[in-house]
Amino acid sequence: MTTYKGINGFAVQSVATDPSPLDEGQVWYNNASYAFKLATLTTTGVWASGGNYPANTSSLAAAGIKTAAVAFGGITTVNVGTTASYNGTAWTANPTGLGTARRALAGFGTLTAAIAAGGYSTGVEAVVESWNGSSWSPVTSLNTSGYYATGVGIQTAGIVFGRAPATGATESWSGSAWTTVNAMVTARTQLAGFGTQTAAIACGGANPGSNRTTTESWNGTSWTTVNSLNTGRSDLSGAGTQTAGLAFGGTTGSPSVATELYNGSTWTSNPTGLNTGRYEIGGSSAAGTQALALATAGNVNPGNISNATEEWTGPGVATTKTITTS
Amino acid sequence: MAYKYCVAECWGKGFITHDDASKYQVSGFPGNVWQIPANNQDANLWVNKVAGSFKTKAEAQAIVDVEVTAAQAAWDALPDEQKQQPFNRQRPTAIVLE
Repeated sequence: MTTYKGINGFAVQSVATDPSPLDEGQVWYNNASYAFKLATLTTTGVWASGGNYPANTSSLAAAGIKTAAVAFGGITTVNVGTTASYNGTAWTANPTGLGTARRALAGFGTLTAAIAAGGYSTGVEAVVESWNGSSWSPVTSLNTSGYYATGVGIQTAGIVFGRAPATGATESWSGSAWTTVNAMVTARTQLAGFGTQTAAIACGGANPGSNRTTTESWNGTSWTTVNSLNTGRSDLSGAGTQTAGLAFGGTTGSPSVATELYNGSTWTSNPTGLNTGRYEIGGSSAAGTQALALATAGNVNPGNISNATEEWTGPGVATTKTITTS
Repeated sequence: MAYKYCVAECWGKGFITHDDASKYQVSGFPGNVWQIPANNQDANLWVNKVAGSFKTKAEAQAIVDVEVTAAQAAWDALPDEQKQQPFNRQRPTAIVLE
């Protein structure tokens, strides 16, 4: 008879605490919980808690990935310029913030090189600021002021699209100047985006009042309508690339936990969503990878602003299962 | 599916781990109310881990209702022109726990 020892060269270990890190197929006996346990690989992605954001904030922007991100702007009870960095465990507020405190701004880039574009302060803004990892500097303004746009790309090559009032306007950023380029097919605001300056996805949003499932693909020159989201919503966030993307959160009229994966062709709803449904999240990894998304703060319900952060981990991660007789 | 409820304050990293989320769904609601599947040993252990206080569904619903009612009152008090702004366009909606 084949035995565990015969395969692995050692017997099942008896331990008081579960081992870490885990190897797929590893079996052990936990003598504290009196249970045999098995390490398996997850087949779906899930959201886990991250460090709490420094303040309950909504309508903020973020750039980077879940282990190295920066979030900025938003609204607490007033518009803020707060800028904080995330190291995968905790947020640290930067001594200085945006030059123009504002909410509903577009953000893209990385922890140390990001762009904050447009937004709403005492009025609609065209202001753009550039982040060098420690401070913000004003750079060339958007051609057209706007808020509730979304942005993707890196500090030297990005695009900003959509905005309020609903429009399909798209502007391309060279690192020094904005150029108005072909607009989206469907005008909208409060949408999500991910990808790069030359290969991006725009999804969801509002136009006006109706939450959209509309998805469009950008090839560096023009937008094409592609397969729609499964759940129509606005104020959602996005992460990843044009062929491996993620859309999460938003509002359908009430805060949504919906998390959908895009494979370059179709959207698939993940079996589980955010742990807390919310919208106007600071979503990072818009230009990063699908597996490294971060959802920061946002509205749990209008009037209930959150500071919770959630980290996305895609499938294929080792996890513990208890072996039972059933 | 049947659910259980608890109240616990999310302290941040480690509150819901990847391992937790892989085994069962934890859903958050206003008032630090958390919903977990009933009859799930791992989920019950999670409540202990986060020092959660179990609540009946009625108790949990009452906590959520207080939060939503306060948010609705704040929204109702806004001037009409502010209610037209995209940021304030939605009156907080009632949440009914399953």
